[in-house]
Amino acid sequence: MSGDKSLLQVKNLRVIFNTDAGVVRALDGVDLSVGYKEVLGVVGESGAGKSALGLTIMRLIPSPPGRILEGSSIIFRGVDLLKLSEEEMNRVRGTGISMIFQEPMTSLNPVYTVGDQIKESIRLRIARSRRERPRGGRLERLDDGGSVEDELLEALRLVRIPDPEKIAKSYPHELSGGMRQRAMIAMMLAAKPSLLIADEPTTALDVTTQAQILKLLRDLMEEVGASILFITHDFGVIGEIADRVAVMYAGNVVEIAGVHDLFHKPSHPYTIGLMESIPHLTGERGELPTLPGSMPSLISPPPGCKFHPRCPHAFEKCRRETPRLVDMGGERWVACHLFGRR
Amino acid sequence: MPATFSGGDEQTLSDGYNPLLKVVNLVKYFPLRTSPLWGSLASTSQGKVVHAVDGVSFQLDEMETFGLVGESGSGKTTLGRTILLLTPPTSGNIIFKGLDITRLKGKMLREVRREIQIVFQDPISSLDPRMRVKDIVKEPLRASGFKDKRRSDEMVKEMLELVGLSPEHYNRFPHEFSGGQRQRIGIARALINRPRLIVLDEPTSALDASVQAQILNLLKGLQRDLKLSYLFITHNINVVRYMSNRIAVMYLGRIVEVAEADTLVSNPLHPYTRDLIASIPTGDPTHRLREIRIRGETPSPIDIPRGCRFNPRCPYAMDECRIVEPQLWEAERGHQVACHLYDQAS
Repeated sequence: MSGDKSLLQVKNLRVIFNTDAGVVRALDGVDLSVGYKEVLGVVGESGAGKSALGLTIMRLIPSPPGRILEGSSIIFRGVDLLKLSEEEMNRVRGTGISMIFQEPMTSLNPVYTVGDQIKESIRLRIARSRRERPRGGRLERLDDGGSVEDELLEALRLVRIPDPEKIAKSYPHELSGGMRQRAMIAMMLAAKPSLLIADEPTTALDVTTQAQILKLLRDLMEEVGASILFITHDFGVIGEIADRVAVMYAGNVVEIAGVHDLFHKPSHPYTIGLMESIPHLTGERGELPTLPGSMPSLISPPPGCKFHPRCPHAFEKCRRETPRLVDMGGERWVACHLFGRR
Repeated sequence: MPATFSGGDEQTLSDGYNPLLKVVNLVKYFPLRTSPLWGSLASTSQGKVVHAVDGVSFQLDEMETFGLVGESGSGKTTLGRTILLLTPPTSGNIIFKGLDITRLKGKMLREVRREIQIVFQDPISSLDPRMRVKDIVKEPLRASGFKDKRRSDEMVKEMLELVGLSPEHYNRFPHEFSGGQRQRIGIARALINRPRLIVLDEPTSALDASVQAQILNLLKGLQRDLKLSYLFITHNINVVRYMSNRIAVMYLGRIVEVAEADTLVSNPLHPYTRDLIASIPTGDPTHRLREIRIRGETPSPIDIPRGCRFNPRCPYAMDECRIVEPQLWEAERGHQVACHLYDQAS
């Protein structure tokens, strides 16, 4: 999209899963990019493929049953991640790209203290930068003379954890949900990645805690200068954090736009329908506009545009031909026959 | 007395007017159980209790939707289950149609249960995977002793139609349905006994946005057509505002504020409610969240802070807040709040 100025560029990404019920086309030709110091929001309902996208970029899709099809590419800092060996990819994970998940409890190891886990992340980063294998607990001094312990406390302070010495000695179960997610973010940042993939990082949190974490993520990106691929089902959250937004439906990106443009003037009928169906905090309480039906099966999706059975504007061409993302100008791309092809 | 209902000790049971449901000073504690294996190690938890619901009073009128919002640990789900008599309250009273149902047993209890039904959050775990849709929907009829087989089959078909499922779904199993359709099955099951009151416990929280709208519309339509009353429990304030006539905000087992839905959202009085509402992302990138003044997270319902239970997180906490628990009282017409900032001047 924005060409080689991107930190990450995903081109024609296709991922399938072989299941007993048939071949699931989880990602069916995804194109998107993340710029430097940019937050790209990826929004979609369940089954849209947004989590599969995050895992595929990290190359964490289990294979089998998953398979990344020929012709896909994931260019990160000019290198196609799909062409790297497992060992090379390991160096990218953590130091290049980090990932945080919805439920920090399942990503943190319950038998180690939070401090030990963050220190491991710091040591791995240093070992990888020296192209060495990590040496367990031996490495305590950094190249610049600082200690791992100092950097641990610095990482905890960065995520605004009060009393970092105490939290470092705590086990994950002793912390609240919000504290755990902060610790998780500290661990990721300790690896100094240039891209953070955040998969529904605030979905399991209460709304007051969510507000604190969103604010924290926004501030941190300013401070450390990393980019985020922020995956969520929540349009409200997208409006809080994203610079640009990619809307996904049934394994495709159907619209990409700047967050202001998308909020004030969504183009794709799915984006419009989805945004209209969300109840607001103020305003009329009449019947909510709805999209009929639900997300199609990814094993036997409808032909043509996968959204056409639910689309109020569907016409003949939509049933035959899959629309491709078309440049509408002003950083907006839409995959819909209504907008024709140039 | 200015308060129409209070969190205090006064029980105003008979004031002539009978709402559909009246909850008076309801308390539900769960003792912390010590297992035989860890008992000796866990001596610190001996005698401690979880104060899940800690003195809640409210009333719900005919055909009203009363929203109950709160974050995790606020006790909203326990309150719903206690009202359904699924778990006996520690103390307090539940008055349904003027009758104290708190300690009913046997035939009378079955009769009341017929009239108060529930729809759960997760339509997967609340539907038996081995039962066909017709049997799931029919189950409450059987449980309440209805024996006419032909009539019950007819009623199941009526209910499925009412919730927007076609008769061809009659013989299928839950796994053959989407999340939204499963929630429709759960609603049909709640409706078949012709209840007066339905407790909706996060009924759309597991659903996608486009499907949530379908279910909310369905619930509104059913309320109008069948003259139902709803107790709508959720953490989602946008949804509860859209659905409810009045909303109560719960924090650590108590109601801290009650008001008309639009009033609560546009003019919240309690500092907790204010921050709760200020924390909701609007989706509008031009109005991103301001600095959140609330500190930390909800403490454990085992060790309730002394005085006002919100005081350790409250930016306005005064000395009094650390000592005296504020009671719910009517600070503005139809608007109750439990906060010392609004105490009467006297």
